[in-house]
Amino acid sequence: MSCNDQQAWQGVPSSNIHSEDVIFGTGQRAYTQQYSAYAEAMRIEGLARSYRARHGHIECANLPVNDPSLVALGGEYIIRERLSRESSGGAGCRCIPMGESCINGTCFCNEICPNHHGILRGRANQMAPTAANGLVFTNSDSYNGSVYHTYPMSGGFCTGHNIVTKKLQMLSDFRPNLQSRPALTKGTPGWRQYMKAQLKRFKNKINSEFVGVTGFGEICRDPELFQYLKSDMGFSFGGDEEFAKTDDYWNLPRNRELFGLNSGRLEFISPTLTNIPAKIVKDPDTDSPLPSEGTVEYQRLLEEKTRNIMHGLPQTLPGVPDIKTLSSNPALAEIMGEQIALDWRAFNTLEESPSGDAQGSFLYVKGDDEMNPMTATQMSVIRTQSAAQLPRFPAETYPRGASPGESWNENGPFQTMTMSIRMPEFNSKGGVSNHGRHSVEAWAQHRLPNGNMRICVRDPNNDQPSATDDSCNNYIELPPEGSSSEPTYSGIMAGRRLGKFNFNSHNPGLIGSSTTRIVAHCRKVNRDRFRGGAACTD
Amino acid sequence: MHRLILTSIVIIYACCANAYEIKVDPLIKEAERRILSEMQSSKKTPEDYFKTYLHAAEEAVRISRIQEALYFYNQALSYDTKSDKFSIYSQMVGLSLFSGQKELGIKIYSDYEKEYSKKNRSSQNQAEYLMYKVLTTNKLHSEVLNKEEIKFMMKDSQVSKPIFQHDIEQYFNRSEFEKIYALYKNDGRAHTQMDDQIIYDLTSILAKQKHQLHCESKFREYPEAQFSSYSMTICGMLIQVQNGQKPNKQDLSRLQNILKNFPRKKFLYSAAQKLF
Repeated sequence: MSCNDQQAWQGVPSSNIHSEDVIFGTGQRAYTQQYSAYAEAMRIEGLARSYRARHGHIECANLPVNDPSLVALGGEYIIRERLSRESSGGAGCRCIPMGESCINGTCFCNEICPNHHGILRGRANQMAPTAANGLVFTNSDSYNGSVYHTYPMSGGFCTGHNIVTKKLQMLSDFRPNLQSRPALTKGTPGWRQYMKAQLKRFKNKINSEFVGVTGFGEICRDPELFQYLKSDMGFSFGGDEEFAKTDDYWNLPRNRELFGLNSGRLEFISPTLTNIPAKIVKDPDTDSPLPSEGTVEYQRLLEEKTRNIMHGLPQTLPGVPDIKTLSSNPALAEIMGEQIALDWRAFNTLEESPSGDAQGSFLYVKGDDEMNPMTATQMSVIRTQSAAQLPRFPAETYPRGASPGESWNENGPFQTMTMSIRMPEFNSKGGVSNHGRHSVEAWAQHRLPNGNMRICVRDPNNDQPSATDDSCNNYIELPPEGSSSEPTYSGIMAGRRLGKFNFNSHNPGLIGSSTTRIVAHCRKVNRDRFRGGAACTD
Repeated sequence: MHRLILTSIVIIYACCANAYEIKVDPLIKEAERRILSEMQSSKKTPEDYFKTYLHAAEEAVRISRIQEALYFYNQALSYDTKSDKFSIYSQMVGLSLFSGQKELGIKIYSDYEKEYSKKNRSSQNQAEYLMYKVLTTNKLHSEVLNKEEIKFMMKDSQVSKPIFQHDIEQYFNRSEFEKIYALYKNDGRAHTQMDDQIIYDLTSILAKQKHQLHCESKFREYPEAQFSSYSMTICGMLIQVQNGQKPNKQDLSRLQNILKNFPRKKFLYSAAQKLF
């Protein structure tokens, strides 16, 4: 089979852009079949390049679908999808069977329509506005510019920051407990490397598996590991350093509490063995054995996967619990930072698109009127849109502390809606002296007793993303209908007068291609299960 | 039938002399040939070809395929249409600079400038024009623009941002490390993130200022990242220098390789060379 044959169905749900228009009422766009074909060619070329870099040559086997029976299945899907659309007058979509690991708690044949982006519900818990779901670095201190700031106008790549965050939220399949272990001999450098990786996991509150030791006392009796705990992991034992080398120290209730030993995240495997057998698991994305954590090979794998996500491909991320942890790794943060700058650029391409088919501006300033305060009519529109598109806070539709998934925003494929804000600076004569433009993610509406409405936002410039994003600390506050007061913003540049602000339609390319690729990804990583079809009732 | 399609492709290519030489992978050209032949069989106008290339370019930008975007924009330019080509040149200059292809950016800038002068442009266009005027040189912005122009350009925060990065690069190229060090030292916010930390750490060593390395704790926490992270590689070299050792030449050559993926950070290589 040639690569071209395989391409025939890889872009199956490519009508997503059209459906975006239908869903968000942005009107018909002139996206053509040719356009999708180019996108596919570029995607495949990118994969081929990645494969070539890894293996030194190229072959079809690396392409997302390398199993003839899967190609046949894809062909079947095309027919079913087409029949379904035709039977419903051309619109709508056909739902496809999917693996349960992509959608928590659903069976294989639950309805997951690519064109309605229902599959993104499987990522709802990754899209809630929590610190774990955000980049560890902010826009204002810029991983992306290496510049000092035109204070107070800090940042500059806010939209890129938002887009990269959304890509990570949509396309990452975090599997913190998926990890391999090579065969190890206690006391060797390889064993210590493995143990250090486990100590790091322990510090990051991920399940850790220590081997060949009975407890932390024994770990601390290894001078190199003890030094690692103290200097690199930052554990402090005060005057109890010798005591820490005994299990009695670690069994004291206060220490169990202090070090989080009661949380069930710890396992001591084969405590009496000197030679510990290997545990090799496969990477679901490639079927290759996963390298052990803490190795250069593992680091390289995470880099490749991060690059793939940045380029719009869903990836399984073994050993990583969330976006915050992923972005703490400096090599990965550099990849993300570069992409933030590129996506900012891409975004600006959309703002003033040469083809004229851009989705309208996020930040593009069309004139000084953009900097003038909102009119009563414009604010009324925002109130209506907020009520229709955002869940209430705090209310039954956004239960704080709810289990993952319960905070799903029923009104949109994302948990958040991008919002652009204009914040002018005025000179002494009352004219605009600085065009302040910003992009934030609105995630809830909060009705106050005095009639005001707050739009809770997540601000990429927030200096403390680990603070309380889910407590509506950053918000735009609108006065009640009929009031002559002006709206205010609590976030960065608080106190500056607000110009125009508005919701932006989702980037159809981003959401459409992401949905398509998540479907393809799920189909691939779950192929064994869903090919069996035992649970299929559709 | 096949002969007809082939002839059509030849005709299309004959009409589409490229303005710039931009290389892409043969796989892209293969897709392009297939699409062109399909379009030819359905009698499309030059405007259709033009639009199709623009769509392709925009999609390429969206998925960060800068080289392909430049190629598609370039192809679009070769069609004789009535459309204002200014925004295409604007994209091409920006993308060339963003992808570290300064020479290409300078070439395109001259066409961009011609298009710019054809009619009145918005204030944002004007600010961008001034920005590109600076970014396509190896001079500080204050050496390229007059005071009025600077004042106008700096009104736009998104334009002023790349200008500062450009100036920092110039200071690096001129070995004026004290100036960068002073800029960072005076900005209390500048060293809370790794990318800023590494410039601050590097310039402090080069400017012979005593300084506790900010990057060191991250270096200790992620030792395996030094083989692929430019900031961690530089940090490793700085730790060696601070310990009174000579930095490792292998680290420098690794840094050069890593920076191939980060074209906008290439100036860090020449700065790190000065540690020897």
